[in-house]
Amino acid sequence: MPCLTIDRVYDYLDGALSPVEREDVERHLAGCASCRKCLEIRREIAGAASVLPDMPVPDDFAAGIMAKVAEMPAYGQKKAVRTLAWAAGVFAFLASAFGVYAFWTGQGALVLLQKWGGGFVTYLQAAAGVAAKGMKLLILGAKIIVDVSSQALATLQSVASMISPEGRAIVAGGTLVILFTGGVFLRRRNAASEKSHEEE
Amino acid sequence: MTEDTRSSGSDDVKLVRRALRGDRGAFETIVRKYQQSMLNYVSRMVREREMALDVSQEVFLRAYASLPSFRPEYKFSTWLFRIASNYLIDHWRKKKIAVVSLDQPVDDEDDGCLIQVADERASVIRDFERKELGAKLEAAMDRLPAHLRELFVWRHVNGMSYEEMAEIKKLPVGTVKNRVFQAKEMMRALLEEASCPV
Repeated sequence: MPCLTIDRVYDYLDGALSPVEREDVERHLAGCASCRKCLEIRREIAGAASVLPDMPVPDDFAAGIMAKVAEMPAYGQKKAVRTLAWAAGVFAFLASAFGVYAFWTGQGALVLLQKWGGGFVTYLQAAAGVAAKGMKLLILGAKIIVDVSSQALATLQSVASMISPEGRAIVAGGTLVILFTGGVFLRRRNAASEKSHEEE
Repeated sequence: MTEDTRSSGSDDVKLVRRALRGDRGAFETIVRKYQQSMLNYVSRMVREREMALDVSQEVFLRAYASLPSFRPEYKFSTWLFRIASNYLIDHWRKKKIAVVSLDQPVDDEDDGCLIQVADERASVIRDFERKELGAKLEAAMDRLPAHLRELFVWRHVNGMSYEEMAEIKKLPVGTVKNRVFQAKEMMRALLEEASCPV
């Protein structure tokens, strides 16, 4: 094998060679003092560079940065400021549009405001009336459900109290048997009906 | 990269999200996590301690201002060091300091650009204790062109992978690797030159 190229030496030091290539390089190194020396020099430089001392960080370094960061708006605030700016922009646009409309139609701004404002109040009143009626209906519905449920529960309890524990077990067992048998019957009927459909 | 910077990127993403919700403490955690690796890099690029501190501070402030543009699919450290690298380019451009630009193109296809210094020259490395070698390394690093010094520092001081460096500089991995080789060979030549005055 010819002597190692510099790239090969660095790839070897970086661990970037395949196991086969690595073996080849090591076999060559074992018999070539010149390449061994070349490798050692580079290994030593890389090793020394990796243990160069850290630059001391002043104790107040992070605090100094954070003091400057504090002068900038925090991101949450930035969002709020943006939202406010948008709202102000929309308001300004609407106000300008209103002014233009008032000027164009020759009506006084106050008259227009009274007309539109009155209409808006009437609309609000109607909407509130509908919402109140809807709430009343909801409350009534909930009351009916609660009453019916409690009545059904009381009836079940009184019926259960009339039956002995053995009787309750028999009723429960019987119910299960009826449900199971009914389920099986329905399944078979469905299967038979599907089969007849397929035959048709 | 230091031990801290090697820790999971998901923590960084969480910290960035918290900072974006207005939690400045989360950003302070980020600063404390990366301040050492940032100073190690910047101090070797600008050399003057005070300037290194100012530049590093400015990099963190730029990072804070640009947090909304950080995309979580990338490593935060890569994003931060890209800001630092770009900042240094701007800094030197404005100051018009006569240094080789960090983004200076080099002919990466030309293998001949590797500095060929005879390895047969007596090995000087063995003449140095490690500490002395460290001092010589720092001095030799100063003499490297900025675009090679940056990569050498990232690779050997910050412990970055070629892939990370390629992502920061937006260059192919092969190109970055070639430049790092150049930097190392130049360093070796400079060290030999320093220890064997003719």
